[in-house]
Amino acid sequence: MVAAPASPKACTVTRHPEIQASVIEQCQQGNPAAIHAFVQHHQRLVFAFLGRLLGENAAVEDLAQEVFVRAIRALPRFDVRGTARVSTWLLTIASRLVLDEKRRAPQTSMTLELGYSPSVPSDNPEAIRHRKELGQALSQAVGRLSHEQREAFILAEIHGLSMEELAEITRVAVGTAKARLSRARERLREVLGPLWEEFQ
Amino acid sequence: MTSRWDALWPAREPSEDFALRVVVESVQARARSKSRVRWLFAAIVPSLCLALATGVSFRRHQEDASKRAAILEAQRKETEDRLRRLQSEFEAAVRHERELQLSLANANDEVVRTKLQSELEQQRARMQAAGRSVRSGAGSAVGWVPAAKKASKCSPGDPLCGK
Repeated sequence: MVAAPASPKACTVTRHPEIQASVIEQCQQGNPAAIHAFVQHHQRLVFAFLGRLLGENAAVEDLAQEVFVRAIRALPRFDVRGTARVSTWLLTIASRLVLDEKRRAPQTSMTLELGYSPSVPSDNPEAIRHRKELGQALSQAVGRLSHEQREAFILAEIHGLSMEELAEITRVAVGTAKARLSRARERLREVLGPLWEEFQ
Repeated sequence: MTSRWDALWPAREPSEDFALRVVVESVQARARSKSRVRWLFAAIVPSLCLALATGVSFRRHQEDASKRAAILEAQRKETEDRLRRLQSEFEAAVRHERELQLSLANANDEVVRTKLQSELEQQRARMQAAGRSVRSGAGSAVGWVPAAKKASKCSPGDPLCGK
């Protein structure tokens, strides 16, 4: 029996769980153990964002390290009791760092590839193959989007950020953020064709 | 974050020691920043002191220069005044000599003539002295005070008087 391919609910988003305020307070005081815990808690989020935005061939690890170094330097000014989420704040730093990098060394095109084999819970070879094909098609289609559209798609669709958070991170009006996401979806629908329906 | 997106489009995993490397890099960055601040402080403080000292010295120099200029201006005015006074005295002396010469030419009495002659010679001597002072310019004129006309101790008509 062939396992069902990615169903309409396949791409549900689980938001990154927030770290305890007490850990951040310890980080603000320069406690290395707390800083270590802070980085461990958020490293997959930052790697996921940078890896999907820039592709696996880019210097994702160097950029991720720079994101955390900047964040740790700026952490004493972060309001733990405020409304801002640390994960959103880290994604903001990452987004601006990527923009800085792009300004410094502009790239005309980008190829996003699956650098790792998808972890599939099922042992069914057909399901594995289908998911792999789907993942490759998606990553290649996202790689053909403009940087702004790709960023909007990754932040909103994959990281589950709200339009307000997306607008704040990308420093645009909410309307512009919505338009970028809408254009990204439209473009992906064009490129992926029937495969796109499987994500919806 | 574990979403089903990760199963479909897996993202790159951080290396095992990534967090540790970030902690080390942060500590080193903080140390570098402190060191940079210390160097900056060490460079800025002497520069500021030097700039302050130069500024004070320059201001003092400016003040001294303006004082010197004021003194020189006052001296120049004083010299000009003195020169004008000397010129006017000299011109008066020239007029007086002319009057004496005229009187001498018109005098018939020998005693009067002798007296006028003597007076004329004295006047010429004074004029020569005053003329030298005036011609030699303001510099040498400074401090020169025309000799006051001494009261004559000669008895009127004394031919040896003034020689």
